[in-house]
Amino acid sequence: MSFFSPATLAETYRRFGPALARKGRRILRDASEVDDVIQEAFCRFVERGEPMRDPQATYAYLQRSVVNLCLDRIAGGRSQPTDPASQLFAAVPAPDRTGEVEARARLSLLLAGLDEETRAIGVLVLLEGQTQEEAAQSLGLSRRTVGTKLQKFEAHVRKRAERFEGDAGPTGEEQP
Amino acid sequence: MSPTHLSEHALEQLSMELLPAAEAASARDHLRECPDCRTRAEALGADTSAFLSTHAPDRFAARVLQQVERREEARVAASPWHRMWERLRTSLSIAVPLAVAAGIAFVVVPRGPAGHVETGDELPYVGTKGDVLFELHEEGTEAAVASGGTLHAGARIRIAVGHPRGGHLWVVGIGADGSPFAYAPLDGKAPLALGAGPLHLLEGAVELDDAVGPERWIALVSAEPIPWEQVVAAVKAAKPGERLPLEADQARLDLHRQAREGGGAPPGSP
Repeated sequence: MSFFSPATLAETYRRFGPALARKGRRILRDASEVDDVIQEAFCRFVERGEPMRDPQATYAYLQRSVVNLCLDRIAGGRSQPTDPASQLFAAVPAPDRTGEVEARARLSLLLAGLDEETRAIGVLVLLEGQTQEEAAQSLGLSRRTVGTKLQKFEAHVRKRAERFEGDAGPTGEEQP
Repeated sequence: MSPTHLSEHALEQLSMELLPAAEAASARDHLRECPDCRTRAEALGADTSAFLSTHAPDRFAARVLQQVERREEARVAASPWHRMWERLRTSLSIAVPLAVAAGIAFVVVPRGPAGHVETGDELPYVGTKGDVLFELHEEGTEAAVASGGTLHAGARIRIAVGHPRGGHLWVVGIGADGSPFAYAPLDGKAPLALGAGPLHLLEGAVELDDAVGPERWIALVSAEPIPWEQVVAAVKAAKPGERLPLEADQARLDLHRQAREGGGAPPGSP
């Protein structure tokens, strides 16, 4: 049983779908795969239960889902990242250093052990260029939480890189 | 960009009516005075309109609710309680006469939704937009060719499609030059009638020619038959990677055509 009427869901999509699509297209190269991601995000939204009363919370949930589903697709080898997304993930070296470093391998390393919220913050701030205040607003978090999690994101990347590459690791400071 | 301009985030939040009232009023004041930001806001609005013109919210909502319902049914069917009941139900048909004779009382657990017994022989659900299930199988191999996979010249390809409501089917190939080719039906005269049901192989096989390079395969299932000329026009109108602007459920596979296996290095190789 669903708590959502078709009309409620259609209105939610009309309001947030275009922005979510733009967000997904900054990460995934293929627009039709972004459509699939958005559909999956809405399915999860419906499955979680009742509609949220706060539109900002609804958007925060959907945005976080879309970002993470896009990242999962790249990490799983099912989708190709956009060039800017690839550059972001290029900061993390591949474990074997042989041949060309694949974005998928880098991303898998990057994401391992990070929670969804932290991953979303990393993408919004480092890929989209949002300020920490903006990321906090769109994810429904405090500015302090975003700052803390962003530090965690950057430290995680550095640590993972050092683990595989010795001292040749990336730094969060290199990101835009 | 000057800090006095509105950020992309602010414009996006304004377009979704998510800004607090005071900030929204301030942003609108700024838009009245700043042609640069106004231009960006108008571009955002145009992109939103274009998106919604090809992504009908009503159809999207129906698809989502249907998919959620199907998943829920699958979860019920896969639950241990449901399986236990099915085993019990099967054994009851044998055991009840003996049990009655022995005076044993049975406790009957509630049954799940009818018609969702896990058989284990159904093809798994493949998540694609608009409910189209779409796979390619190379004759002589067991696994389906996954998106990103390779098709070799000379291979015989079987096409499998499923759709919960059925309709009219085109399977279109789009090569590197962007021109479409009808893989099903091969004569390209009219779409195939596709019955409602799970994934199943279409009759016949396609023998691939020696073309090499990237090739996108798209399965289109529409409620009304779409003329081939309209499919061609849609392929030409769509930007690379975008869904075809047609009233049809769509699923796609991005593949790479290569020379025959064992037939030497692909073109361009040293």
